[in-house]
Amino acid sequence: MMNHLSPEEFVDALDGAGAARVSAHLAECEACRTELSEMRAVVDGAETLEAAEPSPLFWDHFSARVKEATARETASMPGGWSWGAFAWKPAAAILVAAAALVIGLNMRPAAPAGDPGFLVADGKADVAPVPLLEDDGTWSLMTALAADMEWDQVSEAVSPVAGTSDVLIEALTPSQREALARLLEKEMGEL
Amino acid sequence: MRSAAGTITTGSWPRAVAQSAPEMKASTRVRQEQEKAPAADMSALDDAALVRAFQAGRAEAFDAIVVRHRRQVYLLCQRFVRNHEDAADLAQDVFVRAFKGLQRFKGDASLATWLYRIGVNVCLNRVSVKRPEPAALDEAAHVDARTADPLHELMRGERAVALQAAIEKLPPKQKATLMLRVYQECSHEEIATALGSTVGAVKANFFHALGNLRRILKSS
Repeated sequence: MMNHLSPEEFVDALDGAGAARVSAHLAECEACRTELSEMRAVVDGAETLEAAEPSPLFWDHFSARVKEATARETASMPGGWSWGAFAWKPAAAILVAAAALVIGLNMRPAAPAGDPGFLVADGKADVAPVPLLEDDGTWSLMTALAADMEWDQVSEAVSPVAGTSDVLIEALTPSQREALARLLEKEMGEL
Repeated sequence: MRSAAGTITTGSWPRAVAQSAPEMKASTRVRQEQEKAPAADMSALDDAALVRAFQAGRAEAFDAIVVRHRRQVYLLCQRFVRNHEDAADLAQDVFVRAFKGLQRFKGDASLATWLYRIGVNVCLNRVSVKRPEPAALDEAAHVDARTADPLHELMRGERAVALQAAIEKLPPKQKATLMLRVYQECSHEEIATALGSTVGAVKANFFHALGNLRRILKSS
């Protein structure tokens, strides 16, 4: 039984790169010759379809458009890096600030009951060392987050100027905001 | 593949392997010289050198890449959407994506093939959202009456419109394969790279594209 050409063999024959079996088969199989001839006619017809060439003046305009668009991309990529790589940093800065606040409040010595302040009768400050708190994981979290941050970001987070927190919160995704709210609620509940 | 600049570009990129130390130094020196080329000389560099220059921080190398490949990228987009404004937008999108990704380009394929890959993805995404407008019937009537055989020209114009309409009906992968093979003159290997496919699948797609065109044309 005669095996007709496979799709791959037809394409090779179109390219003039068919193996000896292809040539031998085409020599004796009219059906495959017709098929190949019709395929070639379609390719020839397709090759005559011309795409509309724009005006020669278009190309400089196009290059200028691309340059402008890539300049906008560059502006949004500080230091050549994608801003997306740093998108987590505002959230981390807020978490660090929140953790610092919580730890600061936890480490504040509790005032003795009925005592109006920390001064004792002789006027000296009560400088009894505050026992170190056990690390409940917050400190580790804070140090891990801060390890990859620039000092400017840390200082801005810990000593925010007016409106900074609003800007940082605006930069958070909804899921990041939910995570922050959960963390703050948890920590505030423990005070 | 023949680039817009008229030079033959192949899929092979120089790799710094199996080189002796002196050869390495010499080639490194040449590369460094190329990467320091003044902006005006950038057009003299080949694609591989332009990519290296860009990756070394020479942003103007990208301008030369755009100048060299803009026509082919535009024409690819134009064949997909058949509309100048959309084709210009898509071609611009291709280059912006290329700009963002060129730092990570390793040269496993030629730059042109890589740009075609981006172009096909951009066009298929766009076309899936917005189908191109069918060709205006008036196109068939745009025949120069001064030709020797106006009737023949008219029939040829009608066939061209029918063929263009048939190409629009092809499945996306077959259409992309046909575009890259017939109009961009890519090899089957380059098409496979551009479409993230295999050579066998590319040949099968091309075969079926031609078969579908024949069927569509016969039925119309």
